[in-house]
Amino acid sequence: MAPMNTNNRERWFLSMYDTEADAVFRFCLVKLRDREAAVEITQDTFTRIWEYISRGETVRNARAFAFRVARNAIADYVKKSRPLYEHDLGEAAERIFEIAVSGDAELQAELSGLLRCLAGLPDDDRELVALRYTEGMPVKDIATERGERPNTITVRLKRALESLRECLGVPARAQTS
Amino acid sequence: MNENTEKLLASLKRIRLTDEERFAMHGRLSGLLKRSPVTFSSPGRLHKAKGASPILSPFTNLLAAFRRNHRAPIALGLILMLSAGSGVALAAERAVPGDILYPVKVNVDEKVAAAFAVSTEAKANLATRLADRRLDEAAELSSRSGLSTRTRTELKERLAGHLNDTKKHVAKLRSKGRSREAREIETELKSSLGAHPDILLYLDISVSFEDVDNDLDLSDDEDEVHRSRGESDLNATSISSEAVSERREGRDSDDSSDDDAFVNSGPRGGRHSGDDADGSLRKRGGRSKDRNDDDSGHIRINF
Repeated sequence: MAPMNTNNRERWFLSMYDTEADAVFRFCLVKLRDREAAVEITQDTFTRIWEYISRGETVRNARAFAFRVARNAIADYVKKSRPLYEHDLGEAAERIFEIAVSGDAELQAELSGLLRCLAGLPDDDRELVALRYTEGMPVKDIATERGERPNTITVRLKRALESLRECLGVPARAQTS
Repeated sequence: MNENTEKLLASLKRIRLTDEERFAMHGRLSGLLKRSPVTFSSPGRLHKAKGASPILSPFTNLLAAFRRNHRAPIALGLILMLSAGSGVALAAERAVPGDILYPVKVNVDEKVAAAFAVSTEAKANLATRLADRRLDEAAELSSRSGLSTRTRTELKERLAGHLNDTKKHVAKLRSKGRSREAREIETELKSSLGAHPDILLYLDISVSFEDVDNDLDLSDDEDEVHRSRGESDLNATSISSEAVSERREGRDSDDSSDDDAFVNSGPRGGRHSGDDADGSLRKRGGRSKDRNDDDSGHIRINF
């Protein structure tokens, strides 16, 4: 997927940044629950990607690769930084969505509620849910990236959704046919 | 609270970097590109380790051959043409309907991929991936500025084609006794469809799977098998015809807001009704038609 010469690599990288920056940012935000940290790690992620590309390495699946690099960057950040998850997501959520959905109070409330419930999921499940349902990454790609079977990922997603629905107060009637 | 958790999760896509953050980051990365230019360590350039002899590029011999051979310019031209072609194909991969390279994506890239998909399983996998692509394209366009009627029709036809291809190949796999592969492909497809219920609704396509609850092979985790059997979350890929009709009626009453309806169909719009609120699976064993297009253009595909 990666182009062959220097100019093409630069163009490809900047194009990848344009395409994937928001997805990486959301991924970091869901993982870290801290907007400032998410911006910082997004920058770090693309710096790492460029360092990789500039060595002449190639990337097959840009999005999957970006998420993998982001995951590593987050792990490093967590090791170096103060303990995470001290943030009150309830407060943070208002700030996060102030820009995203300004003027739509109902949607903002729904998304804030969703973020609070997401915060209650185990870190790994939160990541799976974000990759699958927010970023639309195929289960097969997620499984390949993590070295797991697609069925295993599917079941974990299912359980995570159940937890989310319970937290969101979705009536049981709507969950089963 | 919104009943459709998947749809609400998809609407998290509204979270984006602010323009200021994006431009600032872009500026820093552009600076990084200038400070840290490409330094190939892989074959293709000379790379000299400390105290070691330079490693000659494999192109060195090729260049020497060009110097000796009068046909070299022709070969070079071919190489350049192929390189340019691959660059176009690469760029086309990210194209969406309306982009100048989109025809290259669907008429060249995907046709080439189809030519290389020889086995039934490969064909089924490809058709599933292409269906997922069409859904992603619709989602991408919706997050930008909405879908025109023409684009909607194009995506709808293409998606229906991929779904029918998947169905055909899955059936063929089953007829060959390869039920496990067929189930995996169906699981993948359901997952893709389940991630975009609002788009299916908007495109007026409903998909149903027969007898899949007990088909799921979760043998690697028995506890999870028990938890998952008989439950319907994995079945969030079937959108009821009633819900579609309901939505269609709403749309018919206001055709002018066609695109807006889709853009705004986030967590609150396009909600399914009653027991179909989560797009639950329903069996339609009595149907003989694989694809059912009614007069209003609704497409129903039964697996």
